[in-house]
Parts: sequence; C-alpha cells; structure tokens
Amino acid sequence: MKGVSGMGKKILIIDDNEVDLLIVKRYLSRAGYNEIISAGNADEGIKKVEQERPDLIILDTLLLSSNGFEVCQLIREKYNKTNPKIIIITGSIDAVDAVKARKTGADDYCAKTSDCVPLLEAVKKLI
Amino acid sequence: MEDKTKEELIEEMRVLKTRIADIQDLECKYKSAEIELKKAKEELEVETWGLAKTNEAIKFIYKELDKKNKELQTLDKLKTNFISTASHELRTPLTTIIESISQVLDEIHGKITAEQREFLSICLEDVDRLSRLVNDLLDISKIEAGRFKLTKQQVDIVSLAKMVSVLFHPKAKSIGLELRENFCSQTAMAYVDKDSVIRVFTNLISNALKFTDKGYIEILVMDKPTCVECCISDTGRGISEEDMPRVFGEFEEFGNREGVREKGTGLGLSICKRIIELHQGEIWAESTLNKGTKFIFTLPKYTENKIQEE
Amino acid sequence: MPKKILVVDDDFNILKLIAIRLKANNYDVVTASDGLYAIKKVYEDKPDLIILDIEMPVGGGMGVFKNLKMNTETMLIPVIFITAYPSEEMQSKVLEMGAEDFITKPFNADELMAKVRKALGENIEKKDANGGQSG
Repeated sequence: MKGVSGMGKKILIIDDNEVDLLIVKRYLSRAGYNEIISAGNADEGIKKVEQERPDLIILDTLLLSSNGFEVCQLIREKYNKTNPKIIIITGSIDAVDAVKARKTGADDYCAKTSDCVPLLEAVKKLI
Repeated sequence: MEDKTKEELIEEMRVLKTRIADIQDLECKYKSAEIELKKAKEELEVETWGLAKTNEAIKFIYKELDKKNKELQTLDKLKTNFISTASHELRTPLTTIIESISQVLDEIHGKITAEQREFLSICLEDVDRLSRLVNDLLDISKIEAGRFKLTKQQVDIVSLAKMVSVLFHPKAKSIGLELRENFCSQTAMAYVDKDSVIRVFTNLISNALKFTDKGYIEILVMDKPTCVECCISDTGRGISEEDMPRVFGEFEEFGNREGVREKGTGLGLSICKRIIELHQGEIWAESTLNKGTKFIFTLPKYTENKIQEE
Repeated sequence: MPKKILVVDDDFNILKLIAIRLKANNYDVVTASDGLYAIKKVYEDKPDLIILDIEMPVGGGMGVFKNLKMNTETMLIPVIFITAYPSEEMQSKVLEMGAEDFITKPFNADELMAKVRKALGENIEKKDANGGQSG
C-alpha cells in the first residue's frame, strides 16, 4: 500500500561509497522517509535485510567484492519475488546493465545524480 | 458392393496415421515456435525497458550538467568581478598618492628643499614600484583565472624586436652598455598576441640591463622551420646553478643584488613564462656565473593554416 | 583666453589633484563629482575639454558620455576617459565610442598633460608648468 509521504516505510540502502550514502539518506529523509538503514557492503546488506525486513532496498551496482546484481538475485531467491521492492542505482548508466537489473529481479534502475531526483521519483512509484 | 479391399483400407489408414503424425509434428513445432516467440517478445520488452531507463537517466544527467554549467558561469563571473573590483580599488589610492607627491616635487605647492626632495623621491620610487607590482599581480590573476585574452595575429617579430630595442637604446647608453641586434632574417612571421610579446621582450631586456654592469646585451631573432626563436643574452652577473630552478618563480630573488639599479616586482619572469606558455611556446634560461645569461623563448610561426586551426 | 576643462570623478582627492595640476598648467578648471551635476556643468560652462572617469559607480561615467555624444550641442566636445583598466581592449573601445583618448590610473602627469594638449589641438612641445622636475 502506498503510504502518504512514506510514513512507516523502511528503506535499506546498500552502497560502499560513504558520500553517496549520505546524499541519498539526506534527500530521502527530506522527502519524508524517516526509517532509513544503511549497509556498506554486500554481506552487511544481506544481514540487514534479514534483521530489518525493509519495504524497499536501494542497491548500488558497484559494491566491494560484489555487485548490486548479485545481491539483488540473492534477495529475490531468498525472499519474495515482489517484496521487498528493489531499486538498483548506478553512477554510470548503461543499457545492458538496465536489462540485467530487470532480469535479476529489480523493480527499477536509475542514475545517481547529485539531487537524487530520478531516485526519489522511482521510490515514490514503488512504496 | 465391395468398394475397397482390405488392403486398400489398411493402406488408407496408414496414410491417415502418417498425416496425423505429420499434423501432430507440425502442432508441436507450432507450439514451440509460439513459446520461442513469447520468449523473444519478453526479451524485447525487457530490452525496451532497459533502453527507456537509460534514456530517462541520460535526460536527468543532461539536466545536471546544465545546472553545473550555469554554476560555473556564475563563479567565473564572480572571479572576473573580483579582479575588476580589486583593480579599481587598488589603482585609485595609488593615483592619489603618486600625483600628490609628484605635485609637491614639481613645486606646485611651493619650493622644497633638497632634503625634502630626496625623501619625497624615495617615496615616489617605491610607490611606483608598488604600482607596477599591482599591475603584475592583476595580470597574473587574470592569467590564472583564464581571463587573459590573447588577440593573436600575424606579427613580424623582427620589426617588433627592433621597435622594443629602440626604446631601450637611451637607457642602455646612459649606463654604458651596448645594445646589439642580431636578426637572422629580414622578417620572422609569428602568430601571436602583439602586446604580450612586447611585454616579454621588454621584461627580458629590462632585466638584462639591470643585472649587467659592463659589456653588451644582444637581442637575437631566428626564423626556424617550426618556430620563431628569440634570445636575449647579456654579459652580466649570471645565475648560479642552484638558483636556476627558481628563475621563473614568483618573488624569487637571488644572486648578488648589490648595486642593482632598480628594484623589480619579482613577477616579471613569471609573467613572461605564462605568456609564452599561453602561446604554446617554450622559455628557458642558460647562464654562467659572472659571464652572462641567455633567456631563450619560442613563438608559434604564422602559417595560412593557423587561423583555420583556431 | 585660457581653455576650460571639466573634470568629472567621484573620488574627491583625484578630482582635486587633477584640477591643481591643470590649473598649474594655466587651464581653467571646473569640477563635478557625479553624472547629473557633470551634465549640468557642461551646459552651463561649455568646457573645451572633458576629462571623465568612466568607471564612476555613482552617476555612471558611461551614461554621461553617451548622453553628451547624443546631443548636438555637446557631441563635439573632446572627452578623455580616466580608467583603472589599461588594456588594448580599452584602446579600441575608446576609438569605437568616439572618445578622444584615455588615461589610466595611476597616471603619469607628463602623459596627462600631453594628452590634454593634444586633445585641445595645442602645441605639444610645451614644458610642464614651473619647469620643475617630474617625479
């Protein structure tokens, strides 16, 4: 159910870049999403999915010793095919990656921008 | 009526069975083709989705680039405004100081004693120096900010060098030095900003005059196949090996400065270097202590293609 | 009869100093420190030459100049710009706009007087007033 300004929706962000993490957190909380958790690598991320059961996961394509697609696939295999919602974000847009994202079960794929506008739009559509 | 014999019926059944098998076979093929088509359609949908996403992302990135571009332009304007304002603010009080002292020295406000003249002259000398320093600093900041506009055109370096040399003849004569000209050809066409190159010649000749006690200063211009090479050499104090690396640095002072006629701003050579670099040329120095120094620089040649290139 | 020069600059010190220098060279001087007053003075005193600070923030030097050039009564009076930005650009700008010449801050008194004499069509060989040593 799509909540009003994200009330009660939990979002997990998995990104190994601290600065990017900060930026996404900032824009998400400004947009009204107050329950935000983060992880800096794949393993930590998967653990947090288990512990926190977020409604939405935002995955970076590049992660230390792993990548967003693998994590996405793992999550889809372990949990529901439709929940949690997954968005894969990247600093370098690529059409092949977009297809890969869809194939590994992500719900959306968008570019990292300094104002997070595409990400926020995608989030709004999903939760 | 015995229409068909038993054999004929069996034959017909066989044929029918074969036909049925054929049809079933076709049906199978049809079904798998349908599945293939469905798969391909799904693939296409995903690819289309992927391209649409990429397109979306590119649009966002364009918007970002546009925003950043506008921010850079604003910053650029601020830099220019700063240089302009600083320029104005520094030059106005300098004007007042220089003119006030000049007027007193010119005895417009009454006669002055020799002693008063002496001290006021010292004051004026240093304010003049300050003024030149301000000019040099503003030039450097303009160059740094990329605001130093070069108006390149076809210039004959030989006649340019001749003109600058003529300006220095009186000064050289007054201090007992010979100013030689050595032009290897009648003309040497380069593609340069005229005023900047005049600046370089002026700075180098002026330096040479300052640091040479006796002998001569030679201005050499060579029209080479790939560039116009110029050299200002002197029989002056020279630069030591350990000081060489600092020659083009800002505010660097070195060597024996005893009895040097005029204090410089410390920025002249740095500005020369930047000007030559802006022209994609090279500048360097060669020297022997107490024997003399050579400052050599290259300028781009003028060719018909030059203008089209830029 | 001595020629009359109007000097316009918003800095009082510079105004005073230029006026003194010009008077010492036997010119009549009128001064103005803002654009509006300057234009008034042009009509009242009908100067033979105007020395104008074009970067005057208050009263717009450029505005004054344009105003003068657009009016048949005043367009022929020669104008020398005072500017803090010596550049080749300024040189061409000056000619383009119809100014007589320009002098940069800080200026050299000899240069100023030479340009004034030239703008007034006088003999350039005159020595500086009082024959004193220039700084």
